[in-house]
Amino acid sequence: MPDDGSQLKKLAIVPAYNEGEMVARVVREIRRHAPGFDVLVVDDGSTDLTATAAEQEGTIVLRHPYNLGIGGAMQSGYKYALRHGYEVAVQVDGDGQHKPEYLPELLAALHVAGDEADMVYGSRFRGDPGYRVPLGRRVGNLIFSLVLSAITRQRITDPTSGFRMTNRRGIELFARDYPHDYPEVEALLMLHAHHLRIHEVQVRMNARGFGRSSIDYPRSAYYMAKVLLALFVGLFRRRPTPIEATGEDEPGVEPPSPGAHPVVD
Amino acid sequence: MRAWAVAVAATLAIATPASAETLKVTSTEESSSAPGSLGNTILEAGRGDTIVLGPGTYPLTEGATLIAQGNTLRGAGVEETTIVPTGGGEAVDQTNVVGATIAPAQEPKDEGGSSIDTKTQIFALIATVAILLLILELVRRRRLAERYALLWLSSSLALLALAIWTGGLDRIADLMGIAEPANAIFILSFGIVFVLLLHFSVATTRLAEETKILAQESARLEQELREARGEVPAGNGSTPAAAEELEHDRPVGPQGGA
Repeated sequence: MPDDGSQLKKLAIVPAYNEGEMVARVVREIRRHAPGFDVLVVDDGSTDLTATAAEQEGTIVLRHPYNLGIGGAMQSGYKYALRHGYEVAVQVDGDGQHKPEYLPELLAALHVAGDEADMVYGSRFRGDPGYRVPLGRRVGNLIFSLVLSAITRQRITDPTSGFRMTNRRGIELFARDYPHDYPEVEALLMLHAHHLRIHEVQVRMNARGFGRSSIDYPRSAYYMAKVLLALFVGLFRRRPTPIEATGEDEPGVEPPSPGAHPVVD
Repeated sequence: MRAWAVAVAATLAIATPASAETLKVTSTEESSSAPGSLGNTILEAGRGDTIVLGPGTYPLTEGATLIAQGNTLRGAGVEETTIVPTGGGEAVDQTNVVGATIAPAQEPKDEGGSSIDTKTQIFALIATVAILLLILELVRRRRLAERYALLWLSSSLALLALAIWTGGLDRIADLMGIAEPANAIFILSFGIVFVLLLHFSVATTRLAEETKILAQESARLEQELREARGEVPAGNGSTPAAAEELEHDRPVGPQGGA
């Protein structure tokens, strides 16, 4: 068992929508701070040169034929990770908000913590967020934080952070089912429903580089309502793939079904 | 006893609105524009007024106004005064009338008697048949999938049935406890439209999910194809530019346009 995760197959998923100016820098940052990670850029139907820019950096690029939204883009990434046998996948937004310098720290938390966490995410609100978070966003975050902390019975300080790293179990879960419009909060609920363990690490983030935040002011009310509804519905939703942490955790190891492989006796 | 009666009478007198008057009908004309006719007097009366009729037969128009104003008709006696309700006076009954006989209502001469007249029925028939033909044509050209066609066909058939069987609507309204058949049809159609829209929302959600999967698959296949053709390096492999660490030192920072 490696203790620092250096031997694992690791993938950084960079969802990017019209981030032609930014995506190359994000990719270079990832390579610089976390050379062990392969980089996959998911070009979510950009109308600019995002895909070309990413390709020039030598990354794998998935081009969506049209814009699916961050949920669809991330799910594409998780599907890729699942298909190619990655054991760790991390989301690093293509707009440069997430600082790749924290990747080793997240990896250490995921892996050293080992059996305690299936998903580790970077929280802005454990300490200094590193930039001025708009007030509306802070209030929204606080509400989600209270609700989620109550549901999961653990302290979740930054449920809207997309800067998250997950192990094979999380990859399998998200490849099969990932929420749509504003997926971060709901995804936490999914993890909890499947008994996957969540761990947070304090990080600082950049204010968004190019492009607008996916949530601007008039939309924040809709955002709040949608996510709260998703949370509420999520509590009662049918779970298509029950993946549960069992303790003895090697993925693929299942109790042999009688008769499937007859013993050669 | 006497004192009682006086007291009650006094109380009633006080309770009656000061404006309540008594008006007299002087003509047996039917037209409510004729001065002194019953209809004309009703139009001129105020709320709660009493209208006095002499002996004779009076055609009653403006019945709805009479009821709305709460007027009372006072005749010269059941034997002496007869009231004949005509256009719009049918709703008046004994509660509004004292000392007069109400004759059976006279139907307006020019209407057929059913709740939907012939013109309306012809219009409804043409419209529903047109809708039915449109749907059949759409199915024939395969512009409408059968499972939706079935839905629309059955609803247009239901409309056609109601257009032909005019009594049916009254029957349905009656079963639903709704007085006005028109309201029954509104409620029914709202219900049907609601269910249809819900159905389409469900269908749209499913389609969105399916197209999302298709888009993801197409992205994957395109990537694999380019890889197989050797247009892009397989997997990630090594970093292409070793010099990048020199040219790029600052972490990704805030960039103006925030």
